Formats: sequence, structure tokens, C-alpha cells
Amino acid sequence: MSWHNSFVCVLVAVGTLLVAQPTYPRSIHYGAVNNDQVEACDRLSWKGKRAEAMNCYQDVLADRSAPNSALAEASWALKDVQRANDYFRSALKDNPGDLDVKARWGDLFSSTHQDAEAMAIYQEVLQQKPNHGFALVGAARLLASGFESSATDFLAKVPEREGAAIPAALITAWINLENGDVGSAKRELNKAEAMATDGEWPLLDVYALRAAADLLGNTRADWTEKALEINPRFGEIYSVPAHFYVITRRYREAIALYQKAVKLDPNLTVAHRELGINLLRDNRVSEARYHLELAYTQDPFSPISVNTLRLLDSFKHFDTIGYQPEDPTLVPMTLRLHEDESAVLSPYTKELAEQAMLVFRERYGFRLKEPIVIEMYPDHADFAVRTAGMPGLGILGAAFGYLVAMDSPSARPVEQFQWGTTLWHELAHIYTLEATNHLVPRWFSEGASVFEEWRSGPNPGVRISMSVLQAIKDGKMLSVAELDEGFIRPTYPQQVIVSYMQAGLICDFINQNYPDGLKNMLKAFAEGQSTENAITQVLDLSISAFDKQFNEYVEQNFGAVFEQFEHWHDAKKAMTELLAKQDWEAVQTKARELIAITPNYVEPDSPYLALSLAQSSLEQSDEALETLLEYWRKGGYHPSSLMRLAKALEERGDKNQAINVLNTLHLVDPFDESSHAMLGELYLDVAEPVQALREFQVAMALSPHDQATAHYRVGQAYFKMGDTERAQSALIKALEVAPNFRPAQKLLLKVVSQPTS
Amino acid sequence: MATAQALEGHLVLRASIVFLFFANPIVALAEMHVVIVKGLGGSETYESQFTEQVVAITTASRSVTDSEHVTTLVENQARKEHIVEHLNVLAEQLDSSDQLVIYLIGHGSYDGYEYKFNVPGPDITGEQLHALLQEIPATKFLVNTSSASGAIERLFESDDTTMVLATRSGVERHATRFGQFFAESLSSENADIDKNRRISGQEAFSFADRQVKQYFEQNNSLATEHAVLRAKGFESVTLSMLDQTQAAASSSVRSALEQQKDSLNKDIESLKTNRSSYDESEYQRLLLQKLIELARVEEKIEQGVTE
Repeated sequence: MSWHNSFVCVLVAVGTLLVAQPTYPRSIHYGAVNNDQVEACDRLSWKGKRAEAMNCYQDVLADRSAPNSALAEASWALKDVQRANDYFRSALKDNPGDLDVKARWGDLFSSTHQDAEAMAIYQEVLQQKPNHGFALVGAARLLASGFESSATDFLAKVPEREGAAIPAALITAWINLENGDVGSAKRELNKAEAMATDGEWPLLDVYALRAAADLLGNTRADWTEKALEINPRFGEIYSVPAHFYVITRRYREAIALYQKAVKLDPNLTVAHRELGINLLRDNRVSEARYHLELAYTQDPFSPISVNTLRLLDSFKHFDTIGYQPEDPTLVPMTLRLHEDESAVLSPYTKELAEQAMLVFRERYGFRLKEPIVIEMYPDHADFAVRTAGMPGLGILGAAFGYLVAMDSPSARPVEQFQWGTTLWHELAHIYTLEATNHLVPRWFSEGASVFEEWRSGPNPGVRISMSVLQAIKDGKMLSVAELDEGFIRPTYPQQVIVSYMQAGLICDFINQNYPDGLKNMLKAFAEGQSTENAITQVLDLSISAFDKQFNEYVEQNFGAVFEQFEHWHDAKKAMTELLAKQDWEAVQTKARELIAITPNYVEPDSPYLALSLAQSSLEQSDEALETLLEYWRKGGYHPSSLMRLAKALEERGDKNQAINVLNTLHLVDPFDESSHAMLGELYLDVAEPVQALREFQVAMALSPHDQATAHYRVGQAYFKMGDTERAQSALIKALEVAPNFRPAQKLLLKVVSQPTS
Repeated sequence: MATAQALEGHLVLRASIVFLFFANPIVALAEMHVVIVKGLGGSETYESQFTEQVVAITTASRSVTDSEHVTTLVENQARKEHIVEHLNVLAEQLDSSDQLVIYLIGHGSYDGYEYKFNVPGPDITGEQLHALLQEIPATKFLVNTSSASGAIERLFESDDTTMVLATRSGVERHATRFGQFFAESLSSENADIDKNRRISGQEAFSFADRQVKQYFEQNNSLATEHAVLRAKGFESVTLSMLDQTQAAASSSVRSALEQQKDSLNKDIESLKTNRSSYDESEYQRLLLQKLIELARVEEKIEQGVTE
């Protein structure tokens, strides 16, 4: 397979249609095509009469009197998109003002994954005719496929009595369903059905979305049978509802539907592709590859298929590590870690996952039923492809049920990424998803994960940026009943992160005020309850009462901050200027002012760090240490500051606290060999040789420059553990590098003087 | 603060060294000579960094040779005419049995034609340096940590000077980090790979080169410098002693035990070199045996016990 180069082609495609053989179907056009000959062929195609339809299109191509636009449509239907492109160009050359043909040309680009070119064409049409229905629909479809909320702006402009109003209603219903608003979706579908019936269009798309609405609303009707009566090979009757399983994270149910779709129509490329991607989410790698390769064969220029296959190729550079926790009541885990990082990350990953299973089992009253899989990608683009099929994803991790994928700590600058906390967050998702058979609303699952980060995570602390607090103050939080929309279709740039924080705060609020509230909410979701019903049933509150109480909780906790925003920003600005001037006394004063307003603010520009720097500069080392200690206790994670703190604690003789700080540091930056060596030495000092060995082995995995010392340390740990055989082996390695290394020589003489363990 | 004080003390000493040097021409010595030139920093930050490096290198150099053989040229003493004068004197003083280590600490520039090391007054060019060094008959080691230092490599193509350059070409013009790490290596336990308490030129280069690479990797930034080690023999020159008392003992006392130690070290080296001709378990057994013997000999030396 040669998807490697194809990917590049797709990226460089500008203005020219590069796709040779797409199989993206020409969907029902509802009057966008104005040619009787073509429409007659289309109607055969929509009934599943493929052979007859193909002959019919061939006849159109053979008809010398057929207009170029009809020849373009026929070529497109026969999968010769290059020719279709040429005919569209000719048609537009003959008649540059034919906006209907131009909009269809945009559809051709859209169907061949060239979204930017398609959008440019739609915009050209709309510049000449702002209410061109099919151009508006085309643009809206592109935007909706990227979950852009601006899609609805385009749909709102579609004239009501034109054919384009049908696909406009269908796309609106699609968006409503993605937002979980089944009632509105059904109303749109009723409109679409009435108009399509009037226009004598087949109701296939309507039925597919009705089936999806049934799926989301837990109702059932015979839409599938009705659709298959019209077109027995209409695979979309399964693949369209499957999409809504995917966005509600019910991947296994989606897989089952996609499998039905490709069985019914083996040429349904999109279904093969999505099946492959969702099989991967279920860790069924071989089956996934089979369907992705089929999708690639049918459409070699789909960036999603190409990217995902390239990712699968890269799996050969990943180690797969199986692990059964010592506690037999915990499920086994499989780690998929890059070969360059697995020796460093695996010990911490195993430990964190074990701890998480114990904490979450207790909190949510649910025991995992299957092994978990944890994947970490050193290249963020690979993680993005793993998650969404495309690069450019702005998240750190994703949970697909029992499988968690995330950036590895090397994927991002260390000062920006607490990988241990991210892993904790994703592991919490496994519980909320699996305890509810994936019926949990997004806000609750995200909220519980954020709450666990803050309260039980490896580096606890409520970390909310000032910009998010500003948004909260500005009244940008949604009602809990609508909070999912903030994640799925944000209406302002920061809304996703604001929604995460709001959801976390809601879970914190529930946890503080309703004993077992989180556990019981989860049970209600498992029973299929909506957010509104779950809140009423478990907390005995209406939505409006809940929102009111929650807002009071926010006010209680952050009201003081809200009142002093302006002062905070002024003080922050002043502190930054004073830092530049190195006016340390004044820096201290400003930093203390800021800390008094926001004692939990431990982001990279935290006033604690400025205060500590000022104190160090004024040679107030004890005060500087205490400041850093407070910063760390609040959840601060700036790596070099933590390292400084650990060294200061060690110097003060507080070895146990230094150990704790270094353990936090490693969940932010695990790739610094010297900090592992230091931690190992500290563990030896406090007589914990097993932990020391782990650290020394991790340090060794980081290929230290000083190999002799690294082996010697391993030998020391084994010796303290009483394992003289392994100690001797490590010491030989040390002395092989540096035969005159006195500490290793001394220990070797001690080891050989003892009986073998 | 500590650094400034250290440099202040050092400058006084340097002045006296230079004075003595010019006042009392030294007869030829089969020893190591070190010349450290600190170029212009151009800013407070670089001035301070370069000063720290010069202090570290001077201290390290004094651990391997007599202090009067260590010359540090800073500020006005680092003007081109003084450098030229000093190297010309060395050309007269040294012979082929001597070792000369020259450190250039500072910024360099390259305009596509000519490399210049930036010093107070007119800069000294790569060609001028090359010509001056050619006249010195000693075994020469040049450590040029400046930006664009890679530009001088071609000048020394047919020369036997061992060179460490902070950059691989003249187009790597950003201020370098290499010098800082090289200076750090001279007192670093981690740089002492073979744990003989001495930092060889090779060990210092390996340490600094690795630190530079790690620096850029950890900062997720494109590396703007790639150090180069040209020619062989850098492992044979000791740039720093981590433990001077031991060094003194080992250089002054040639006991039977030390001969035994040297012999065992050779045996171990030979064993490692011929590893492939042994069965692995046999290799391990022999290695362990030799290592234990060596450890016991070292123990006796340490205890001052002779058989």
C-alpha cells in the first residue's frame, strides 16, 4: 500500500482536482441538478439499480447533444471525477454566470475531500447571489462536518420554498441530533419529509436520520425496512445512525452498524473507513487495518484513511506491554508505548493505572469488566490521527471506553503538560463510560474526570486559568442541561475549556453537597436517564434550582476573585515590570497581593514563582523554599521550580518531602535522567531500595552519559535489596566501563565476600 | 557574586602570570601549556557567562599543569596584539614534546569569507590564528567555543592541530551553548566516563556535545549549533583532575602496586577488545576475576599497604 505519498498529494492539492477515483457517493441532490436525462439515471441509482444506472450514465456521455454540465454529472457518477471536473470547467467557460452549475462544481470538490477549494467556490457563488440555496447548503455541510457552529448561519439563509430547503432541513436535523436534541431534529425531519414527498424525492436520507433519531431517543420504528424497500443496497440506513453512536461514544454499537452497512453495500467507502477507525478504538487492530485498506483501495485520497494507515504502520515502533496488577480484583492492562520511551513510562503508567482503578472503583461503585489499553504517542499528530483521523486536534488525551490514547510527555513542551494528570483524567473516563454503557452525557464524563484530576489525581489542585474565570464571571457558563453543546459545538473560542472547567466544578459541587451524588448520578445515566431526569431523581432538584445552587457555589468560591479581577490584572502587570527591573522587595509585595486574591493560581505565570525568585534573590532561602512548597501543595508543576524545591528540601534534610516533590516532577517531566538518579539516591537514603531500583532503572533507560555510575547505582539498589547476584552483574557492567571506579570496586568486594542470594 | 569574586582573584593572578611570563622567559619545558582567551561578551549576560567559563577552565587547567603555564587573557590583555605576542613567545619557548591547549571563549563571526574571533580592538581572524599556531612546534589542541567557529575547520585541513569547534560551519552564527557545557564538564563527575578522576579532552567534548543536543531537544527547538571534534588524540590529553591529591600520589609514587594496577588495567582492556573470541560466560568470569584483583590492588594503594 502506498498511502504515504498520497497523503502529501492531498495536502498540496490547490485549485486542481487531483482525485482519480473517489467513491464518495453522489447523494440525492433535491434539484441541484437540472437535467432530465441525468435525473432519470440518478433515480435508478437511488433505487439501488446500479447496473442500469451505470448504463444510463454511459448513454448520457454518448449523447453529443448533452450539455457539459450533464456530462460532468454523468462522469462523476461513473467515478471519473477528473473528467467531471473538465466538463464543469467547460460548462462554466461557456456560461460563467450559471451559479447552479458552479455550486455543483463545489459539491464535486467537497465529495473529493478538497474542502478549502469547495468552500472557495461556494463563496464565489454566494458573492454573486447571497441566497443561493445549494451553495449555502454546500457551505453548511462542510462546516457541519467540522462541528462548526457557523453552519447554522448558512442554513438560516436558505430560501424556504426551494429544493435546497430539503437538504437544509436534513443538515439542521443532523446538527440537532449531534447536539442530542431529538425533538428539534424530528421537527426538521418532518419538514424535510413533507417537502421531499411534494417534490417526489426518495425519502432515503430522511429515513436514515429518523433511524438515528430513534437510536438516540430509545424509540424504534421501521425506517430501515422502509428505506430498504426503496433501495435494497442503501448501506447508509446503518452508517448514518452509526455516526450518532460514535459521537455519543458508543463505539461497539457503531461498529455493529457499520458492519451491517458494508455487508449491505461493500462499496460504501465511508462505512469501511469509519468501521476501521472504530475497530481501532476497540483495539481490534487487524480487523481495522482490513477495512481501512479497503477504504483506501476505493478512495486512495481520503486523508483520514491514509493517515490512519500510516499510523498503523508506525505501530511497529511501539512496544506492547502486558501487565496484571498484583491485586487480582483489578483488570489487566496493556500499554502501547513508543520503543524509545516505554522503559521510562511503563513503571509510572502501571502504578498510576493501578491507583486509579482503586480510587475510581470506590468512588463510582463500578468494577471494570475488561482489560484496559493505554497508548501514548510521542508525536501529537499521531495521537490526533488516532483520535480523529486527522492532525490538528487540540486535546491531550481521549478515552474510547477501555482504550485510552494520549500524548506522551515528549509530545509537548514539559512546562505545558502534566502527563500523569492527563492519564488520570482519561482513566476516570473509562469508569464513567463503562459504568453507564457509554450513556453518560459528555458533560458528566468530562466533569468527573476534571474533578478527579483536582481532588484525587497524582498532582491534586483546582487549576483554573484566569481567562476561564473571567468567562465564568462574564456569565458564559451554560445551564447544566445544555452543557454538552459547549463541548460539541462551541460558539466562542474558549467555550470548550470553559465547559470542561464548569463541568469539573459541577461535579465538585455535587460531591461536596450530596453524599454519593456522583455515584448515584452515574447509576441514573446507566439507566438511560437524561441530565434533567438524573438531577431530579438523584438530587431532588429541578434544572433551574440546580443551576441556581451551582451558581451560588461558584460565587462562594470565586466571588472574591471576580470582584478583584481588575486589581489582579493591574498587580500582575506591575509585578511583571518589577521582575524585569529586578526590584525584588517590590516583587514580593505584588506577588503577595496576587496570592491573597488567587491562592490557588499555580499556572506557569503563578505569583508563587515570582515570590520565590524574589526571596532567593534576597538570599531568603528558607522563605523561598516555603513559598515553593506552598506552590507545589497547591498543584504547581513548573518542572525546574520543582527540581529546585527538591534540591532545597534535600539540603534541609527533608528527604521524604523531596521524594514527594520529585515524584510530582516525574509526572510532568519524566525524561530527565538526573532527577531519577536523585530520587533513587533519596529512596536509598530512606531505605526503600525497591523504589530506588525503579528510579535507577528508569535513569538507565534514558541512556545516561555516565554509564558507570548508572550501573553502579543499580548495583547499590540490588545490594540493599539483598540480591547480590544482580548487584554483582550491575557492578561488573559499571567496572567494565570504568575499571578504576572506586565506589563500584568497594561494593564489588563487599558483594563477592557475601554468599550468593 | 561568587563568580565575580573568583574572577577578580583570578585576574590579579593572571596579571602576575603575564608579568612573570614577559619578564622571565621560560626555558623549554616538556609540559602542558594552556592559553585561555576571553573575547567580548557584548552584553552583561554573555560577559557574565564567559567569565564563569574562563574561571572554570582556568581552575581546571591549574589542576593539570603548573599555574605559571596557564595564561588567561581577558579584557585588554585579550586584544589581538597581545594574543599574537603571547603565541609568538610560545612558538619560541615550546618544543615538540610539549602540549599546548588554547581555549577561545566568546563570540565569533563569519561573513562568508573570513572568520573572526571578537576581542577588544581589531578582531583576530581565523587565518591569523592558523598562522600563529603553525609556528608553534608543540602538540596543539584548540577549543574554540565561539559562534561560527566551524568556519576555521578548512584552514586546518592539512594541519595536525586537534580542534574542538562549537559549530560545524560558519553559518551557525547564533551565540553557542557549547562553551558553557565544556567548561562545566571539567569539574563534572558525570563527564568522567572512565572514573579515573581525570577529564580527558574526549570526555569533555562528549559531555558538552551531549548536553548541547539535550538542550535543544528539551526545548523542542531547532539546534543552532553542532559541535565538531577534528583529528585524533583528544582522549590522550587531560584537561582537568577531579581529585588532585590522588593525582599527586599517582604521579609521584611508582610502587609495585601501581605497576600491578596498570598491568591489570591493560589486561582488562585487552579482554574487552578481544571479547568476541571468548564464550560470553568465560568472558564474564575472566572480567570479574580481573576486576576483583584490580579492586584489591586499589584497596591496598588506598590503605597505603604494600605486600
